[in-house]
Amino acid sequence: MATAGTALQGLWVELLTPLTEDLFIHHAKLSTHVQTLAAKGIQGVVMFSHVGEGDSFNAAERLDAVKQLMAHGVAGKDILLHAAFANLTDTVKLIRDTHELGLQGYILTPPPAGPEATDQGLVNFFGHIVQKVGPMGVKLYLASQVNAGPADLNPRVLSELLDKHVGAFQGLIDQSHNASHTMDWVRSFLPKIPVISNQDMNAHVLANLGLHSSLSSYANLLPALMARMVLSTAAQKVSVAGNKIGADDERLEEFDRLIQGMPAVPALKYLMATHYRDADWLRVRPPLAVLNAQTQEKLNKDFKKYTQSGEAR
Amino acid sequence: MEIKSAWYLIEQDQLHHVLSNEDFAKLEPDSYVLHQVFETHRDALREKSRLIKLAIEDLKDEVNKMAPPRA
Repeated sequence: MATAGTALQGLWVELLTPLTEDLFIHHAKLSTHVQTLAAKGIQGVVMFSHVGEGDSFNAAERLDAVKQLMAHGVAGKDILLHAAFANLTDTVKLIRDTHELGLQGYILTPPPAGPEATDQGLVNFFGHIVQKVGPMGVKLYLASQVNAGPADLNPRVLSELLDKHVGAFQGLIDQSHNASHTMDWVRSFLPKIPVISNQDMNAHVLANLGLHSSLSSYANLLPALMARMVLSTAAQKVSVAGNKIGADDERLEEFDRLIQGMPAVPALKYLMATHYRDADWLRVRPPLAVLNAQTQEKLNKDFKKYTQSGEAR
Repeated sequence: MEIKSAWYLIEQDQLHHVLSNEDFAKLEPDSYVLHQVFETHRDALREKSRLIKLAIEDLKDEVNKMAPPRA
């Protein structure tokens, strides 16, 4: 059975995916970005998450991107790969095709499903994947959907999967935007299996509980700040709700407010373009769209103020 | 996470520099801003040159804003 001792540790960055003019992955820019983050103290990278526009990339593109990144010197053990597709066969094929690269692990999410999906169907879905790739010894992480729907992972499904496939899953990743949902998972499953969040605003709360591992999209821009949030247990003040607050928390909240109400991926990519002074980072794959000029202007002003008022990233 | 071979593009005292791994390690913490890390020296120099060109353009824009309108 997996224990907390085998869990991921530290800050894992959910990579934004830079694109070429014809909207393919810009491998050179991605590699440079990863090397830059590595120099700033991150533990590893997560490829093709929601902020990495994962749903827009097929299995062949994901495989190619992993190989290209490794060809540029990134070790497989430093890569977590989102391997979820709407169908079982692509997931199994991608895991099999990348198995020999020695990746840190694979993240699986429930497939988008209509109202006919059932808990038993979900158990069968993940059970089938375990049956096909489990014997290869790969590390699998179960993640909730980003926007929770009726066919999302729930405690009953998780309990059945963990009981039925002992040792097959290395961790649970809560991708919901709901901190109390994360805490419910922590309370229900932590003794059995590590629980990780990809919500930047939860990182410090979990760190204060001794859970020093987090997946972060804000770390594309704020790796040093996020690393401190994930690794530190220090806190200066306590909020009314009992959460510990420090200067880093305030900086993070300020950053969060900058992009609140905006589509996250185009907004983060806009900030990357500003940060690297490189308009190539603006590109997104449709149906996403670049922020409109007015929003860009506002974000640019606010981001300048943000960077001028605080320490270097 | 390790970086095997890398060239560091940094800003120090308002100047851009490209440093090898060895030289980068000698820097005093907080004495510089790290821009990007490149696999090759050539890529790092190319980016340095691009950033300098952008800085010159920015400066030109600033100067033009301050210049009195032509009669």
